[in-house]
Amino acid sequence: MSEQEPTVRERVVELLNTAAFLPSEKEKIATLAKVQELIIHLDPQLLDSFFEDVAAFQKDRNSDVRKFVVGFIEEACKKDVAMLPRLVPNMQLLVLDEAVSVVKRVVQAVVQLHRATLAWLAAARTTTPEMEQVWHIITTMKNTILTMIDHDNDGVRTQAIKFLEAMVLLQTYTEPDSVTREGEFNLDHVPLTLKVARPRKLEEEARMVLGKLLAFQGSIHISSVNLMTCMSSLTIIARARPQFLGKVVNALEILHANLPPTLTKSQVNSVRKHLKIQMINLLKHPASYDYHYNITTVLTDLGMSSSEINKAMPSKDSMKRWIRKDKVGEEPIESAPKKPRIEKEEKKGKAEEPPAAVVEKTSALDITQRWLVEKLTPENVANLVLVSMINLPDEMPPLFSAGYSPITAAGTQAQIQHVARLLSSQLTAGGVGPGVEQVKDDEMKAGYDSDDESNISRLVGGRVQEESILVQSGPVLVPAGLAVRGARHKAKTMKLEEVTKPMNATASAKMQQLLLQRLLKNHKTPLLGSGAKDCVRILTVLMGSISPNECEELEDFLLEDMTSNCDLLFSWLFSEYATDHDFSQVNRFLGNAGKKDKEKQYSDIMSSIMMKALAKEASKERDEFLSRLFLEAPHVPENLISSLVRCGSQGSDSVLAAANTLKDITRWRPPASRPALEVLAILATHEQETVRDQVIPILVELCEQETYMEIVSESATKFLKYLLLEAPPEALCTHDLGRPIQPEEWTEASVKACLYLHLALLPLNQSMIHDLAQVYVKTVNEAKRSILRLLEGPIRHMGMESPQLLKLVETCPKGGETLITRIIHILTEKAPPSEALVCRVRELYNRRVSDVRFLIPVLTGLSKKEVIAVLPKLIKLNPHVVKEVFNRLWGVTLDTGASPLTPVDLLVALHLIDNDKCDVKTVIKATGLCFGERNIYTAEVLAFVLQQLMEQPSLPTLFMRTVIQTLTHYPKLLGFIMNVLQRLISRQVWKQRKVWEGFIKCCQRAGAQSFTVLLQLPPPQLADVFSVAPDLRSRLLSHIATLTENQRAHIPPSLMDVIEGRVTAELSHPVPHPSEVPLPPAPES
Amino acid sequence: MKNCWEATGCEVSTERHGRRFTKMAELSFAVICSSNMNRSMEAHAFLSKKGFNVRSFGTGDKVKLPGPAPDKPNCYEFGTSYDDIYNDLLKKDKTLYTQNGLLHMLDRNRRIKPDPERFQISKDKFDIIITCEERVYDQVLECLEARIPEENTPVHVINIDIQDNHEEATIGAFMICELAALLSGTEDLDNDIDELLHEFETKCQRNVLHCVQFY
Repeated sequence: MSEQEPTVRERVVELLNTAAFLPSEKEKIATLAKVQELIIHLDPQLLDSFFEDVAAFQKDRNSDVRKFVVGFIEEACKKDVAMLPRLVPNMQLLVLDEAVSVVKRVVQAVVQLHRATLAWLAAARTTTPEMEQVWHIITTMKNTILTMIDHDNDGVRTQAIKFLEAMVLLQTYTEPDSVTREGEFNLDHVPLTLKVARPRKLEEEARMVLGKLLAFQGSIHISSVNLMTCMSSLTIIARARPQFLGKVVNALEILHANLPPTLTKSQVNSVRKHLKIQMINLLKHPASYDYHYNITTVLTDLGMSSSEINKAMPSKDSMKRWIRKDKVGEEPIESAPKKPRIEKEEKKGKAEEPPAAVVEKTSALDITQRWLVEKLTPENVANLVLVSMINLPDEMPPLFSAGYSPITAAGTQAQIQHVARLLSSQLTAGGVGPGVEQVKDDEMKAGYDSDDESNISRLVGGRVQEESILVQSGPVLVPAGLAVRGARHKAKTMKLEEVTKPMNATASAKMQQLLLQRLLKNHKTPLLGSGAKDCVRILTVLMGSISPNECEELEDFLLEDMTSNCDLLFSWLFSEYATDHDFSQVNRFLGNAGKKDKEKQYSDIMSSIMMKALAKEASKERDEFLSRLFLEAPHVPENLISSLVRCGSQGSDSVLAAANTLKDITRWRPPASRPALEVLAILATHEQETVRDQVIPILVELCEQETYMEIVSESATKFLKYLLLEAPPEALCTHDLGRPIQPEEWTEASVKACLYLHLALLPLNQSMIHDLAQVYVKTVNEAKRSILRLLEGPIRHMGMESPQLLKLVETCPKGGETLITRIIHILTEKAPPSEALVCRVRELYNRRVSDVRFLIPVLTGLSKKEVIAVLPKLIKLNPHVVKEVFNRLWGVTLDTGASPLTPVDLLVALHLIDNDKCDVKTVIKATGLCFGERNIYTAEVLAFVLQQLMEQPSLPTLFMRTVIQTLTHYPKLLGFIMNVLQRLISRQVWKQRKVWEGFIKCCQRAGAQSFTVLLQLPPPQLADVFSVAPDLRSRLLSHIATLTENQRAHIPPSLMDVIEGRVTAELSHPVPHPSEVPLPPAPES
Repeated sequence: MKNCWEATGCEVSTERHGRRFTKMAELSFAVICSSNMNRSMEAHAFLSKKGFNVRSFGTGDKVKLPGPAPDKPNCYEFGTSYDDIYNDLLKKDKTLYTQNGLLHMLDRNRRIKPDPERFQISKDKFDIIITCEERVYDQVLECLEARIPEENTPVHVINIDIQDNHEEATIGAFMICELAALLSGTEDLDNDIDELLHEFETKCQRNVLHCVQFY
């Protein structure tokens, strides 16, 4: 034995010497390990002499060696507390080592040193300055390590978590249910009198550290390793210190609902599995009784069956023990219905202040959950699902596919509770909901360091997860008694909640208002991704719940920049519409549905927006906006459409836009087509022609559809009937239609305004012509004139074949003859009259209207006989008309060729007109017209005429006049005319006095050529000739003198007597007054 | 040692990992399956051949081996040596157990270590525990959770699902070896393990479970 001591010492010395020079770290460490073994375990007395030598290796270049030194210090201190003051400063250096592995090892060691130091302090009777210093160093290191939770290295963070865990465990008191290692040192063993480390302060610190830990678990970018470490640590803390159980369960629940988005699929699986294990561990702890419901819910979510959960539950006995303990002095309430129980609890809560522990257990999560359960009606849930449907990600997140289990017990109370719980954890994580607010209030009151860091939001991806969780929720089968017990504690805070609730309502209203203003102000700033969409959505919901005053402001705001605010405006309108019709579940959910009775309705908003937009200065932008508003709004009230008339006073661009809008309304909004068409029709009566020219074609285009036609015709007829009034009606004289002042009487312009639309529609809807005729008969002259003038186009479009026109002609209203005449004129101007038309006109002429003018247009359609019959009347008309008539008959205006009367016939017919029917002068004028047309009445034609007249049984009065005129016009016909004269002699022309006079005149004109004819006259007639025209005798005498004897011999002697003047004419014929048959003017040459 | 490494044909590049052989030796592995017979032993054999510091365990209540019928397995207590089991089976039905490869497997096992070990009763500490089945993983975690950590030394528990037959066990052993090499090749395991596992997952097309526990 005596030999051994120096041997050990020697060996240690030798080993240390070797170690210092060993090149290999591995061997170095092995050697040092031997030294450690020797001086700590084999012979602790040697420790004092050699510890410095070993500690010196902390300067070794190799990190493993340094790590070993840390281990050595740890062991040494644990072995002998007296080592603490000597070795702790070394640790202080090592904690700042640059090698991560060393730091990790130091953190691990400090856990032990910390505990050892505190135990050392607690055990010491008096505190020496040395102790204080050690404690000071330890505290400094503690603080250094606390900051390491944010270290760059994941492994260091992991160790830091474990350090925090150990710290919490060390610096708190145990409880009866604590699960701890035998004989572990903690605050229990620290005397309250310890001044260096005040137990109260230590405990406070522990709470702070726990808060840090909870916050860390909630951070977004936590790695899966650290997350799991953190979870285990929290579980260990909860099991060891049941007072924190509530917080931990809460934190794990929130975590469950908000797994970090950075995890990969398998990491999610691992974390979920880990969570399950932690939850089971918690479940097994008797103190978790109050949280069984929450825990089982999460476990069910994680895919555990109820039987598995039941298996993991602590035994009934331990539970009962726990319940009994908890319920000291309270009568057991097992199966009373829920509501009365809450009331009871409330009373109780008022009577006695709830112990602090209970308040802590009722977390924000619970409060929000209770608040939610009431709100989770089927409608609300459906709404929530639909609303959040939009936010579903394109791809299924790994978390969802990993954790989805089908819902089997949907709609049961248990499941509602469960969903409420999940939502609650979302809301709490997002820092909203009554629970959070209340907890904040409580905290402010309590004044202690808040644990709200555990509620660190993880809104990134939060919405998505919320959805997946809603779907995930599975059946929760909880023993009834347990759930009842759970509610007991929650009921205690009912009072507080009721106190705060009304405040929240006003506050939230205020907040909503502020939020709305803020969002509106900024909503144009571009947001990435779905941000803009969300923004609009939020705005819409908010806008749905504002007061009428704000509504005004909002409208003004939106209209300030119509183009860019359009989307917003429309989503607002749609939401209002939905609210109005009670489609919107969201609004009902928000509690807006009921309020709408008092406030502005959809239509009010719509109309005020409309009016404001219309009141704005006309611009392209505004017109486009109006158009969109009308076409895209969910519903357009009819009265609003009529207000578009106002565009009429805002320039032609505006009108055109409005007209096109109306057109689109008509087409795409069938229920509104009637008012739209009516407005369009009104615009068609606009004062300005440019406006009308824009509007009418649109209307005509629309009228191609029969249904629209009817509506437009109605309007058109209405306007037409204005003409029956004495003066333009008020309806026509508005500012919008360009007639601000109501005129006293009809003017051409105003008449036209009424007529245009009607006439434009005529070709499409021909039956309207009857209305026109009716109006024509009764209206003022000004209007009549206009009608006649404007009629041409439409009538020409309608054409002769139009049955409606024919019908009109047939049933011509009294006084409407001019109209009909005009119509027929128009019809026949460019084309020969159709048979039907002729027939109708003839009918009308025969039965009702005796005006011959009526027939003129259809003359060419009448038969020869008819024409001849009316000819006397026709030629009595104004010379222009007569000319027109003749033109028609000659086919000058129309090259139809199918005239009932040839020019020959006409002239003959004129000659044959009875003197009774028409005086000679008129006929002469008419024939004069004929002779005027030398193109038509050529020599040949006239020869034909004469020929035909000659064949008449009695020669017409004007025959000779025509002969003479023919001779004047065409001297080359002299021979032919002489022939005619000769034939006249054979017809004893002298018997007809007027013809005879003409005969004589003709002979006079013909001069020498007529001598042979004269010589054929019987003597008395010749004498008569001489008496009328004495010059003829001398000329005849001289002519005879030139004759040969032979020729002279043919002249009868009686005739010679007359010629030579031996017999004077004493015929009984009275000589006609020359004026009676005026001779045609002498030929020019 | 390097030759031996190359001779295996393992895909892990020696260039990359050779330098850290010392480090690799430092990491202690435990490979765990249910009965410490097939999968864990296959991996044990493979890893120790590659020079890893490896142990193997089972987590079941008993060592179970296929019997003459599915409902009649051969059960042994942990601690019964492979040799004894070998002889027992030889006695029971030599042809059957030769045919299904059990005897061959036991023969291999008894060359590696004397008897199957149960993880739950082992007090040894490891750096990395690799389990071959999710149930085993759960049991390991359960066991580790139940202990209250003292010195906070981390241990990574990793699960790779391997079916319990010879072929899969061989493939599984390859994969475990690759994973072990991957993990050994890093300077700071705690910091890199997330990435390494992800790399492994994508490379092997297998899902792994992973968590960290403390001794």
